[in-house]
Amino acid sequence: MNTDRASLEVTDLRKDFDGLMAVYDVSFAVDPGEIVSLIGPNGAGKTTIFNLITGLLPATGGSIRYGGKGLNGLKPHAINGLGLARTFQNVRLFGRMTVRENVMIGLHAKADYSLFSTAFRLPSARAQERMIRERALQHLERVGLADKAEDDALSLPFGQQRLLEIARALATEPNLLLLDEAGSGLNRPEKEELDRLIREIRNGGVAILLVEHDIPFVTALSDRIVVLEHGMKIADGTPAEIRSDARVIAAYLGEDIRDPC
Amino acid sequence: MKTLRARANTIAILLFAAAIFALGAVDLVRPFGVRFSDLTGRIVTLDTMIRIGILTIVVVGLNLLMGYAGQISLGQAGFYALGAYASAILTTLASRHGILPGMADTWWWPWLAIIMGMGLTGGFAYLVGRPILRLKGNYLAMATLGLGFIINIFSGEFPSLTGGNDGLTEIPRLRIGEFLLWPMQRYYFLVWGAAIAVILVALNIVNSRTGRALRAIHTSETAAATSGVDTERAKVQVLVISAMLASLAGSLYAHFQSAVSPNPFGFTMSVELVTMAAVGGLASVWGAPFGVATLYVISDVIKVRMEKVLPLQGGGYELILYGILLVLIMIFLPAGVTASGMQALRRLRRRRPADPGEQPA
Amino acid sequence: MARILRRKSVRILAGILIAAACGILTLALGSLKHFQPQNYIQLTLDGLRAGSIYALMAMGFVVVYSVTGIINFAQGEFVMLGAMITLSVNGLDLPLPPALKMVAAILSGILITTLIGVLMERLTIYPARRSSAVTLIIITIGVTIILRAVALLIWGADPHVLPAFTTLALEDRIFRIGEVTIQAQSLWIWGTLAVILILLYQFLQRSLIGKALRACAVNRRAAQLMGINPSRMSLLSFALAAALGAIGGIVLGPVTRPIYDMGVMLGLRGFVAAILGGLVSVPGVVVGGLFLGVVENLAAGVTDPAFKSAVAFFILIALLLFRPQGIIGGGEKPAEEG
Repeated sequence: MNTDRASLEVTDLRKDFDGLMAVYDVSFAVDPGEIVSLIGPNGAGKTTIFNLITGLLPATGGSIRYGGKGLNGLKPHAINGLGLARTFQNVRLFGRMTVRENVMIGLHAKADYSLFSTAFRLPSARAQERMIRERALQHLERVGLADKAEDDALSLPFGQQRLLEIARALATEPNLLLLDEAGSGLNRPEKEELDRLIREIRNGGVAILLVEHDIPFVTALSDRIVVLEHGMKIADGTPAEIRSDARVIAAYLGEDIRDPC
Repeated sequence: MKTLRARANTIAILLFAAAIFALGAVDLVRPFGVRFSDLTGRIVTLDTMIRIGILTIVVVGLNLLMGYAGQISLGQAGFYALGAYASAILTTLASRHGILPGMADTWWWPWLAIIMGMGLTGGFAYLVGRPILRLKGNYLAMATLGLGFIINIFSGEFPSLTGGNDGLTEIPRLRIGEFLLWPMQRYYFLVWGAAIAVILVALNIVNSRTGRALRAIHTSETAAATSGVDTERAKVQVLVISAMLASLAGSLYAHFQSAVSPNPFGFTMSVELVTMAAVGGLASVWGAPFGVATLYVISDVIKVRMEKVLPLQGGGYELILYGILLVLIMIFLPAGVTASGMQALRRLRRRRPADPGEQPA
Repeated sequence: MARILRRKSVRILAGILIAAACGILTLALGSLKHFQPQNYIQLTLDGLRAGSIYALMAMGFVVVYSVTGIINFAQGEFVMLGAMITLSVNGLDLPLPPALKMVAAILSGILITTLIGVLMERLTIYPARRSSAVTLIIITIGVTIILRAVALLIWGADPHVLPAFTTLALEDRIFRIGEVTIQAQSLWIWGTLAVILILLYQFLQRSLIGKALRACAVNRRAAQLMGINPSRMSLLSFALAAALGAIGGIVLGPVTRPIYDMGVMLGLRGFVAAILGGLVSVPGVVVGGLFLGVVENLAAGVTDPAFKSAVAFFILIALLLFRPQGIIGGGEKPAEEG
């Protein structure tokens, strides 16, 4: 199935946590090559939607389709195989591994040598291992971490840990990248670097769905913005449209989204 | 291009194998009339070494399961028992029930039985593995505990098949053609040959994408899953491998003792296995032989010394010391003896200028 | 298939069907042995008696688990110690009338076992409080080994005797209702369970310390921010668990002839009871314990006593597979990562 031109279509998505309606009839789409941002006050359901799309939570209602194929009920690794990769809000790196090994996990599904050939270190296994090691380094070069390849993953400063997570996600060769608050906790130079990286990734043909809190960052970067509040979508449009939307302003009561800081 | 780690492992294996075989040769050759046990001051005998070898095979599997994949199994003795009973039942088919008289008493039948045992145990682990491995932490511990108990209870319940509580005896020794792998001096080589092969395979698995995937699952299952790792499959795979290894060890045990009964395969044994894995170092394949050896030596030494110091009273004293040592090791050396030992070595090495890129084995 | 099982209505239906099937199976097997209603009632009553002990043990598990997150494998040993210490003190030559001597023995049993629980927490749990679940499990197993070995040394491998409370002798008074017999000790057991429940409830709901304990159980970090000392709470929970275990062992003592390794199987059943009740709710585990006792007894009664232990484990496995949060619910599902 060719997912190069695939769209993510979320339709009437619902998630009910034993009576607490976290997501209610949310619909939006991400077209190929788009950068779409999900914003909203805390508790609006943004990370929950990410978890629903990537298969970590089962949806209570509605549908999620990618390239026409339904994602509801698929296992996370299968969804990843269809071309969706993600990062996490609280950076889930693999602790007892090096930077490079973290990225090599992303390449896990790109190799297919069996356990048997592993056990006896057959040539096919060794060749594929070499391939994985080299490709991992390439992805690290893309985010600028190649020189730290053999360091302990957790020894990286926070901003670079976020980059590492992105590199790992990129290694899975996605067509849609979901970034969960990739910018939070970063300082200004790091955010500018992230902006540049995201644009570069998009130019390489990967669509991007962002969850973010930094409004100026989001406004400058996104093609479209989807605004959530209390689990419901209250606006969907270009940054200019959102900026002047009365409901959005009301939802962010007190926050001046035109403030560049 | 071999990484530094792979090279270190290869050297370690060769050295280890050489040492083991040299020790085993002592009893065969008897240079100057010296026997194996003399070398260790009568504390460690050849019998003990064989038992260490057999249990090493089980504990390697347990290390993969617990240390790498981060799952807990308090019922590993169940898989061990399945292997032992499979071999016992299949190799006594001819003598006890008169089934397959032409086939079941040939020299190659017991070997086939070992493989069949591994297959059966592995299949069983696959069936129960899928649902059980969805549980986490304490719940998984309890499920495996219950599983081990059920196997234990059932092994005593069907006298016609399993010999009931008395078990089965007169299990034939292993041979290749006419060459009998007995007495102990010969069996030693079989057991340790198998153990070393198992360590080798385990090291290969650990340093491969499967081993990486297991470690990833251990740290963050969700991150691994969303990065493309089929986590359920990986966990079941490692459970099956650990079960098959335990089964292999069980079969070797059956042919060693020439008898099996439900007794040794209970909860106590599962606990001992987990202890050996933890003491040796959960996240280290090399931890297995050292953990097993450490605990055996400790309990043997305690037994010997205690008998001299205090008059024996139902064997209680060494158990107390065993328990105390266990608790102390877990509190002060939670990474296990091997890892702590290697840390100490590394610290010593740092007194001299360090080589860049040194990786621990 | 798994997806179908996730729907609540289907699972409830399946649960009812399974229960009905078990009930029919029990009656069928019972009729093979020519069971009359009084046989079933007798088995149920005996089951309720054993179940009460499981309930007491389960309460000990719950207290420790909810406050510290640790499954205390040594809980069974507290039961054993309570019984053994009591019978030893009772066997001493003290210048007291038999009834008072028994009371003194009971108090000593509870106090000393509680002390042991405290020692266990301070010496082995507290130093390892930041360790992983596996490490802590092994530590509690290590303590179990030590306690059992010490018991073996002190009391030997033979079963001992604790006199019944009513008669202060070996023979207990027996009440008969029709064809059904009830030992007086059973009444003691049920009475103790009721009293403990009431006392525990008062303690946890009304007293300051009890509330602090509950706060810790709900959210440890928040409790810390409120000024509650989690390490002291951990200590308290172990002390409480030890006391509960000891009490269970003491009232059970006259019924079963205490022996140094009685803790193993009891501990496991107490744990099953705890899981049945969701591991965090006291009334839940009490129901769980009673339920386990009855089911176990009925099953063993209609088939073969050897299967008694197997029943507990089957229930355990079935529970863990289908409903780890317990039948009563309100318990937490085994944690998914945050």
